[in-house]
This record gives sequence, structure tokens and C-alpha cells, in this order.
Amino acid sequence: MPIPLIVAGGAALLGAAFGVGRYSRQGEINDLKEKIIELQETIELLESLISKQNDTIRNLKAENKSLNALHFMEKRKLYGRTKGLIIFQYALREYLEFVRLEADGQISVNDSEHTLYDILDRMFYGQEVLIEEKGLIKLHIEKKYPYEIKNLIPLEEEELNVALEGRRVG
Amino acid sequence: MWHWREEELGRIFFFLVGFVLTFLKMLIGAVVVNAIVGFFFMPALYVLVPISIISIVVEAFKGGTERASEFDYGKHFKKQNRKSQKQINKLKGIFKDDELFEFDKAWKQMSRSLD
Repeated sequence: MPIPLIVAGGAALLGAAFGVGRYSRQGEINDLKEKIIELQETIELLESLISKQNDTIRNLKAENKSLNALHFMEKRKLYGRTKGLIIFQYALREYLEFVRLEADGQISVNDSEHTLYDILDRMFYGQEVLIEEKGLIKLHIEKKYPYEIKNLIPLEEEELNVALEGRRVG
Repeated sequence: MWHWREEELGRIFFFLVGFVLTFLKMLIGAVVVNAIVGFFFMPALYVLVPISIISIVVEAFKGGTERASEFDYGKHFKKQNRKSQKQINKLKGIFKDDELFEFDKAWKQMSRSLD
């Protein structure tokens, strides 16, 4: 039996299956690529938003530091506000990364990441999101960035571009 | 057209399992007892065999209904619902008020700046 022929046939079959699979997703991929271009156009805006938020976070932290232990309720409140802002920043970063991974076909529909992507997508476009869905996002962010969230480390502006492009620019 | 509901199908299945198991158990017992009695006093089987058949059928029905009552679909369903409700409530409580306020505010702020 000509073994090389079987191997070549198998490879051709696999290639054809891959091609068909890829072609069937082509429309979706094109949409996602357009979305990435749109996001790239708005990335500067998003970066300036993060920069402004980082100023707010610095102020909140300074205010928190200036309060003594007797103002524990206020301190708690300030800590909560800072944490909420930081979770938003990392959630935004995660969203941009998900868009890129989705376009690259690295997230399958059955993945839990796809659920998170769906929720973040709705949040990004200002659509209705349930409180439990927001809870899921918080759980994911805290699990993925435990050190940053616990120590209230804000996101660096250029991280957004890295998430979207998949590499450091410059 | 009559459609079986999942609950009814579950009960029937559990009933049949209980019925068959008890039936076989009783049948084996009755055959052993009847064989021993028949070996020593054959005429007794005229009474013993009908009584055995009646008791096998009655016990099999009892076994079936007992097994069917074990399948309480409503209870099972409620238990599952309670579990998922508990998980949903847990997710709802994950965000503290201040965190959530700032988190939501940031998304709105972003949407506004993108418009």
C-alpha cells in the first residue's frame, strides 16, 4: 500500500476541512476585523480616559491616606470606589484582548471566555447587563489580576494598545 | 394527542424498575419454597402456588410504587433551582455598593466619551 499517498490524501482532506471551516467563519472574522479597526481609531480616546481615571485614582488614594483610622467608614468607601475604577480598567483591557482573540479564532463559542466576551461587549456598547453578569466579570478580573486588584494598581494607558494589538508597540 | 411529561415518564420508569426487581426477588423465593414443600407434600401446591402468584404480583406492585415515590421530580427540580438561585444571589452580592457605583459610572463615562 502506498503509505505516502495515504498521508498526502489525509493532509489534503485536513487542509480542505480547515479551509471550509475558515471560510464559513469568514463573514464573522471580517466583522471582527472591522471592529478592531474601529477600536484602534478610538484607542487614543480610551487611553486618555484611563489617564484621567489614573489621576482620580491617585486623588482617591491620597484622600484615603490622609484620613486616620477613626474615619474607617469613609476609608472603606474610598477603597471601594478605587477598586471599582480599577476593575473597570482591567475589564476594558480584557475586552480589547477578547476582541483580538475572537478575531484570531482563539475563543470558541463554548468557552467560558466567550460568555465573558459577550457580557463585556454589551457593557462596551452601553447595553443592559444584569448585576450577576457584572459579578461574573468581577470574579474573572480578580482571579486573573489578583495582585493588581488587591494592591489597587491602576492600568497603564499603553496596556490597552498591547491588549488590542497583541504586542507591545514602540 | 397525549404527551407524556418528563415527570410522568420518570415515575413510570422508576415504577417499572421497582416492579421488575421485586417480582424477580419474590419469584425466586416462591420457587424455592414451593419446590421444598412440593418435594415433601405435593397436594399443598394446589393452595401454595395460587397464593404465591397473588403475593408475588401484590408485592411487585408495592415495590414499584415505593420506587416511584422515590422519584419526586418536583423536589428534584426545586433543589436544582434553589442551588442555581443561590449561585445567582452569590454573584449579585459580589460587587460592593461603592465598587459597583464607580464601575458603572466608568462604563457610562466611556460610552459618553465615545459618542
